[in-house]
Amino acid sequence: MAILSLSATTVLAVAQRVFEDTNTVVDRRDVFNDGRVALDELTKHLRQAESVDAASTASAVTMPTYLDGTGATVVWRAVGTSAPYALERSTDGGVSYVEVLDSLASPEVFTYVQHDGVTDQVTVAFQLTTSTTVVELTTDIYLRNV
Amino acid sequence: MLTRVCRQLRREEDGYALVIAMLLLSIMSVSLVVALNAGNAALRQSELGVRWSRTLTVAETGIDDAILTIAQDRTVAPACPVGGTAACETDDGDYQVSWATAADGSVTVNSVGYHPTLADQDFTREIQVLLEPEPTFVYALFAEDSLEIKNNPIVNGDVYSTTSVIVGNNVVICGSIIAAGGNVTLGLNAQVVTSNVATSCTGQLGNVWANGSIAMGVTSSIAGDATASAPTGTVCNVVSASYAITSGAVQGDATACGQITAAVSGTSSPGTLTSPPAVDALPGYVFDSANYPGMTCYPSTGTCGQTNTSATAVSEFQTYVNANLATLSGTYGVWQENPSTDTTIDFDGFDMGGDLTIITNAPVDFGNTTTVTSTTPGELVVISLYEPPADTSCTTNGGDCSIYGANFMEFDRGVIADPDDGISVFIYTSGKLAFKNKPIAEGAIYAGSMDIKNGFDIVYNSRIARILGFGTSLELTLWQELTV
Repeated sequence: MAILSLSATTVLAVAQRVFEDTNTVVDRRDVFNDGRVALDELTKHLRQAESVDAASTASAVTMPTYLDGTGATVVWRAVGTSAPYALERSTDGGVSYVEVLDSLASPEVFTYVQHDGVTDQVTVAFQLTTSTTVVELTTDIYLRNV
Repeated sequence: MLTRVCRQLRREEDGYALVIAMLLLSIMSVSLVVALNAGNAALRQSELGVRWSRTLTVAETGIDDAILTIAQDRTVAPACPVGGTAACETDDGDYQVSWATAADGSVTVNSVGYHPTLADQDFTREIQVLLEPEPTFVYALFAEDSLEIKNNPIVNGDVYSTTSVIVGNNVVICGSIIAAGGNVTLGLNAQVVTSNVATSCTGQLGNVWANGSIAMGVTSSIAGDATASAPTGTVCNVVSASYAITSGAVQGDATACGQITAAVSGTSSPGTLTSPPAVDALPGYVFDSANYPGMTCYPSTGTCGQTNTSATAVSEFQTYVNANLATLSGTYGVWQENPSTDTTIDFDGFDMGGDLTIITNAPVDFGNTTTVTSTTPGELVVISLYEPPADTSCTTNGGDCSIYGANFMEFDRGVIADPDDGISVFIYTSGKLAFKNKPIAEGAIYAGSMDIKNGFDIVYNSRIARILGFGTSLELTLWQELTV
């Protein structure tokens, strides 16, 4: 009986640990997935952009780009006063915004690269807060229409 | 009795342990399945993301393939057109690609990528790109000899001469001046500006660059930079009158191989050698019927081009012009056998019904054309490859000219500030061009030899920058991803 109880306790402890780890994995998966979806959309906008607005910063980028073949001014920005920051998107030139992501550890998302004096490359880095750590998704985007 | 009960209890306990063990194993199994599934789901989503990205790469492969094919032969049909059953295969998936050529020579390419295959597609992404001829005509006025601008014309746009440029008194040029083989002379009160409210001109550089001196009249000014360059090897001297910038005012930087006596607002660098402007030749024209889908050709039989001429090409086309004088539009190739002044195409009094392109080896005469209008914003392209014999003359009073216009040849510019309205005009000849009495146009005039009397108003319009047929390849000007 004692051995059985000990075994049961051990198994339940292991099961609990498995569930905790599973939650961690699921949380990371969901955060990664949200980040990946946001990154895909942001990449699509930047890739088609004709330029990057001169007023763009590390936490906000404004660009004339295309939405399914139609010209539009799109704005992406990180907002908030402390982590986790939210990432928002506007497709009407900054009049209205939609929250896309709410797990940014840092509002500094955009880095701009110039070649021959023209900004034609943007590096996007999402630092994403999970339940246990901060993970990073990064991509370099070449602006095709500059 | 007691012993038997105890034995039974032990037996029951053994069974109970088995049940408990199975229960624990079940819990463990469920936990394991959940854990493995969570990890597997993350991996699967990552893999889906990779495949989604790969699909774009596949579609881009289709675009690259189309660009390569079009560069080799624009008339070739795509091997696996969008919407068909054939697929072009790559390691990462299939693609289909189609393209369409517009009348202005631009090519729109659509490429759809499929992953993993067209027949069994999980992901589909579509890219559309626009290919346009590289911009060849970037000057409002281009002359292969010296160029004199006087009598108060409106000049919006850059001015280029392979030799020298003379700007008359009080003339305002909104743009830059390049003299690749000589001096630039600015008359009294002449101004080179970056913007001009009176002529709706904005965003120009206002620079002057000479392969010689920049001689500025009193109170003349240059809004941008002034550069008086000298040939390689020239020994520069801060007090030399050669390659100098003299008198007037330069609001930007001034750099000269010789002396600088002008008032300079920016940095003044006398005695400094700089490379002279590149000598640009008049762009050469090569006719390619593939550039003009839907072209009407005279003669109408045989392959359209200069090698297939007719003794009646001009007369037949003239009959068509006369019958449609009020609403001329379309694209025409007119190839006359033994062209001469006797086979001149006469456009006297014409109006347009939209875009009009005429390419011919015969002379063209605009006569005493009054204001040419168009029912819709239009582009007029006139290319005459007629080269008068060497012993003939072409003046503002006529003669043996490739392109000639008499009194007040004026094209409706619409609102000058709006580059998309009115008529944009591109007139080109490798031969001789003469206009009498102030032609007015929005566009550009390029000629091997140019004689224009009594000034002229010319407002450069970038709509004519990418005119076809001048030997440059197509360039990608727009890249879009469409929603499939």
